[in-house]
Amino acid sequence: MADFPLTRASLLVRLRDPQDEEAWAQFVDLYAPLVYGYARKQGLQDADAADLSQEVFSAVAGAVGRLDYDPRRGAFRNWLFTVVRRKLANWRAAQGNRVLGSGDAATHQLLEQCLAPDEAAAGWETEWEQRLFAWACEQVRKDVSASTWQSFWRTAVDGQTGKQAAAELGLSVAAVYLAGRRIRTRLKELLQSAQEP
Amino acid sequence: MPAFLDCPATESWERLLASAVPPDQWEQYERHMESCSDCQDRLDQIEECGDTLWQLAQRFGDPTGTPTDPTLVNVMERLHEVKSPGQQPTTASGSEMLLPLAEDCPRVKETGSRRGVLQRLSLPTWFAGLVVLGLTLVLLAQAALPPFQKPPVETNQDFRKGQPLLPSLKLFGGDAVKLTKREDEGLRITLPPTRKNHDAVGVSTSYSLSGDFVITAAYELLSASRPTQGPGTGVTLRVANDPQWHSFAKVGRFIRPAEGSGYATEFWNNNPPPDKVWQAQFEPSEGPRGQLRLVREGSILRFLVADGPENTFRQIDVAKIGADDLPVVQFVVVDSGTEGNLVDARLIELKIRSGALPQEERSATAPLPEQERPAGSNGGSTLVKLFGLIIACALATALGGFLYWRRSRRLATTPLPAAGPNTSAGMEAMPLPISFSCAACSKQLKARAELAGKKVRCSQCGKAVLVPMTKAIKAARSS
Repeated sequence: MADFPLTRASLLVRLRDPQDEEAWAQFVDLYAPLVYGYARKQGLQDADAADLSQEVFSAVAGAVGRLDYDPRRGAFRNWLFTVVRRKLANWRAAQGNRVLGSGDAATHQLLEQCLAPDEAAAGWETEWEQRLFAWACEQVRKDVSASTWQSFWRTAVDGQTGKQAAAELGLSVAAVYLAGRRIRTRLKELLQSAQEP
Repeated sequence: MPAFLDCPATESWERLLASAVPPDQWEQYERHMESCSDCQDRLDQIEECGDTLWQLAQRFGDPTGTPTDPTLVNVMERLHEVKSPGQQPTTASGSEMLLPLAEDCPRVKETGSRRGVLQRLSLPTWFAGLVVLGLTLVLLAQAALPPFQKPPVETNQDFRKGQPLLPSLKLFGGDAVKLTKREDEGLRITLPPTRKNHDAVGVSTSYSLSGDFVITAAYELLSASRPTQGPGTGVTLRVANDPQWHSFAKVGRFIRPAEGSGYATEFWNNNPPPDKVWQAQFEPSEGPRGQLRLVREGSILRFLVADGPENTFRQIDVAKIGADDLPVVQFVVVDSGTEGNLVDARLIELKIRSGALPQEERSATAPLPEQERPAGSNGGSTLVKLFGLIIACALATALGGFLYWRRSRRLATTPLPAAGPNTSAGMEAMPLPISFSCAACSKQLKARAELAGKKVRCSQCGKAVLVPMTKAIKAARSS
């Protein structure tokens, strides 16, 4: 498994400043899809996942001012996972409450999908890796053209040669390599930037 | 400009890709690259993606080509509206999302001008506000006065040098006398693999813990088998709210069947759903000596560990245990509840402080001070505290009455504005909440007037309910 960076401590520090709208926006961009995606993969419908995401972020917004972040005590995402897991447990408990009277087989099935703690943590870690990678790609993608992005993806991931990619994209071979290098460097920087000091 | 006759060195290509080549030379490189398959092969090798990035890309694919879930887009728009943790979001009108009832989500609610908010408050809300205000004043008064709570209880047991147990502690476990041995290094407890009885063995308090507390336990895990089943072998500090463990919490150093060596926490209660909770954490560790700590502040219990006798504590879990008295407090060695497991450990020290915690101990990671405080030192004059409470309540009532009188007068003298539909002024003209029943569970609900025609979530069953339009609202919106 890839050796993954921790949450940026600087972002968490900035979140404590109520005037720092940019920090909150970055935080939402990075973590909201993580929470929502995890909830969906736990079997929640989109509306329920949306509600759960909002509850989690309300809890984070309420607690972040008191959060004295110390990386030695664990990654921020683990703390966030604790919050998500509790909200999820509450939601499932509420579902269980309702199912007692309803006998709804689908809901029973949903309740049986509760993962063991280890599996749940592993699922969260995977979801985090995927989210961080997607976030980095989104940041780069919005600054480059489609052909530039494809230059990177085809040569670096799909295994095409520079010449093949250049022919299909209508670019010079050197331009393909240059675009690929720039994007790769930027992606690595972004992933690195999420690392704590 | 002519192409190179000879292939540029790899370093030259590296400079080009690092944009370190002057623009006037770029064309030369480009033309060479177009025609030189050797250089293309070299660059194909140089430009491999790197392990981490390549693995991620292979696992997750190109995320930029995946359409975003429209519900997620809505969620993010809504969360962006909050702008920052210290600010309230703007109105959510126009959003497709269900609007939460204000009391369900206090941090995410609509804003308005100060005057508008005051005018929209209903009478029960005013009373609730008064209660909150009164409590706030009481808390302020309490902060200014000595705390009004049970006197502190302290137990500082050092198990080293064969010291006997304090009267407030007793051995725990049916065969505890046989399996424990006082040594210079601590209270040695050896659970043999052939043991038939699998009770935990150690010490427990002879009193109940009340209010806030800090329990710190130092141990040494000499050896422990890795069990094949059960919760694990090792040393644990645990508390419960009754002998049947209706509500239970533990932090311990374990060898677990699945995870192996490390710290583990567990918390559960047997409340009926939806308040029933079970949670657990595990953190790998190999150190044989360490400390365990449970800290309760209010209703929150924190689980902390330290890797050595002197190391700083770190929190590994937190749970809402409530503020009930805890008659079960045990520092014990456990054998995972099954035969065939050897556990050999020493209890080195147990410190318990409950009741009025000094400020320095409210910090979850603060070490326990060595000096003992005399019991009751935090107690103050009950009469003075009572007087403070009466003053606070009187002030709260007077202030609340004034605010309510002012609001009533303002409502009586302010004419209804002729506002257009959906304007905030129009909303201010309809301050009374709308009462209606949930179609799914029949719970009586109230929503602010401006939510008429929108859906809210029922606080009982969670279903979406349409807030009905009253005649007054229809008239106001159509005017």
